[in-house]
Amino acid sequence: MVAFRLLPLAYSLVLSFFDASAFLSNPAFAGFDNYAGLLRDQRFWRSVGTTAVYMAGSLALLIPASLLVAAGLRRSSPWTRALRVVFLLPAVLPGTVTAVVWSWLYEPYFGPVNQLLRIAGIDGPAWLKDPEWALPALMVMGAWRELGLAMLIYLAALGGIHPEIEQAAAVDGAGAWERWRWIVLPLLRPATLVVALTSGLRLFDMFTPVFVMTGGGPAGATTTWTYYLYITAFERYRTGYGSAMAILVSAVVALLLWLAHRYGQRGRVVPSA
Amino acid sequence: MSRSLLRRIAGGAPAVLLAAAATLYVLPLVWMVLTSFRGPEEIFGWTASPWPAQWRWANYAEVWHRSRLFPMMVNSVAVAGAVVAGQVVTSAIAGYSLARLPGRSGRILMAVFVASLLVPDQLTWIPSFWLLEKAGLIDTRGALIVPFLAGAMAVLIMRQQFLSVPRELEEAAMLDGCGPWALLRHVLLPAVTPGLRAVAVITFLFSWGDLLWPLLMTHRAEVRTLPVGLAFLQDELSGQWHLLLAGSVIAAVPALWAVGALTARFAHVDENTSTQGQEATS
Repeated sequence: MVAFRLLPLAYSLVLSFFDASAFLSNPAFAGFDNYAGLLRDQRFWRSVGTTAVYMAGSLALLIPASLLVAAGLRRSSPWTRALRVVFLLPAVLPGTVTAVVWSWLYEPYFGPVNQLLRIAGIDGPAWLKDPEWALPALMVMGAWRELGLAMLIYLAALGGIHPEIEQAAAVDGAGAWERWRWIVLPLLRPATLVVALTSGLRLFDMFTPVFVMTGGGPAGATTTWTYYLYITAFERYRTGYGSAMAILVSAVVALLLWLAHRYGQRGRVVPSA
Repeated sequence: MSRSLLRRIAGGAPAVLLAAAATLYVLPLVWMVLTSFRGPEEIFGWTASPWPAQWRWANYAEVWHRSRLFPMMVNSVAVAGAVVAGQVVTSAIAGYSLARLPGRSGRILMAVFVASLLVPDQLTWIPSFWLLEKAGLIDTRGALIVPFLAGAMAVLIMRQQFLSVPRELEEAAMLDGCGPWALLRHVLLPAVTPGLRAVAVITFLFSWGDLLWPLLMTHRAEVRTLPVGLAFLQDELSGQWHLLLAGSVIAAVPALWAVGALTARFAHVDENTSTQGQEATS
């Protein structure tokens, strides 16, 4: 029986190994030229910078917004449970669908965003067709899509805080805001790290909105590194160069994750509750 | 009395704010549905009313026939169905083995699965393309199915789920004369149904919504899935937002259905497993 169960397991094991080891043979064929070229490639560095700005901007919107929503929906009732579902909707939909919807929202002349702005007397920019505004517009959408999952993480963390801690603080005379500021928020720091890591990684890999909404433009303003890799390896067929790109970025990300892990362990010493 | 009333009002303010935030939050989706029923002249005129002048179901028929969404729908259903079936089976088998493997070998396998989760997707594109080309699967539905028949995430979910099934339960069932098949069918599977459902929904949502992988591995229109078709529709139907959004709704509904099917049955399943568990232990 064990053998019967182990066989498919071994198969998927081999498969998972294959993915990881097959790429190692590529740089050997290509030598180090790819890496040298990559270091001089302005467009590559710009795409990495664009991705980092996109990720940071989205997280800056996402973390406070999801924290507020989770705080508001902390207590469980039929009413809050329904709202939780509402906030999870965008995360469930296919990325292409939300991308098409937001292309429509941002449409310069007849899109709802600019129509609403016109009512307020503001002449909105062309959003996705404006090099200045395209990336911020995508940031808002990125935060919108991630909000539900971040909310779930914060809700789980809030549920893990013992009510006694807050009650004790209340007995000591701490008001609602003080309890939040000095007890709940510090205890949520690990959850914030989890949100920053999970949502951050997904935002860092962002591809679908760029492909559907902007095609990397205008003037390369929204070319994320994943999109640049797609263009390089699968439209220009430079697979060696693309492999080097993927490895270089992955190595940097792994390094950053390791640093974040160390920071996370240091943070965990303080809130031992 | 007045104090509690004040508190109720103060307590109500965040609720109102939250409801407002939630409304604003889903507005893009509501707007998607409303606009998908509008006529083209309503979209390019000044849309003063949020409601369509008349509900034009014809938009759906038009995008469905004109952009030939049916074959794409068939492809998407076939791919997502095969991937879900594959993941449910492999994650149950591998998850059970991982949960029951003793000591070091279990830990090593566990580490391998976790490690495969950490490999960035972008690193797998090129080697996967190469592998699939060798296997002759490029430009077929197989290219969208085979690589996803087993996944580390699903295996880890199922391992966790099997760890919650006490070994004594299996031993008791065997003592009562349960063969391997009966054990699987009447004891193990009922106990891990919630995990399997979670695996099914997560896998379905991923497979159904994926744009990147089909884009990389297929070109022919005959194997095109719905997300890819929808992305290309942006160019084909440029500016015809009522049709584009109708197509979006068509692609969105199965995803919502999958989640709804999971959440609606969760409570019922929990009940079921606990009684089944009691029967088996008694």
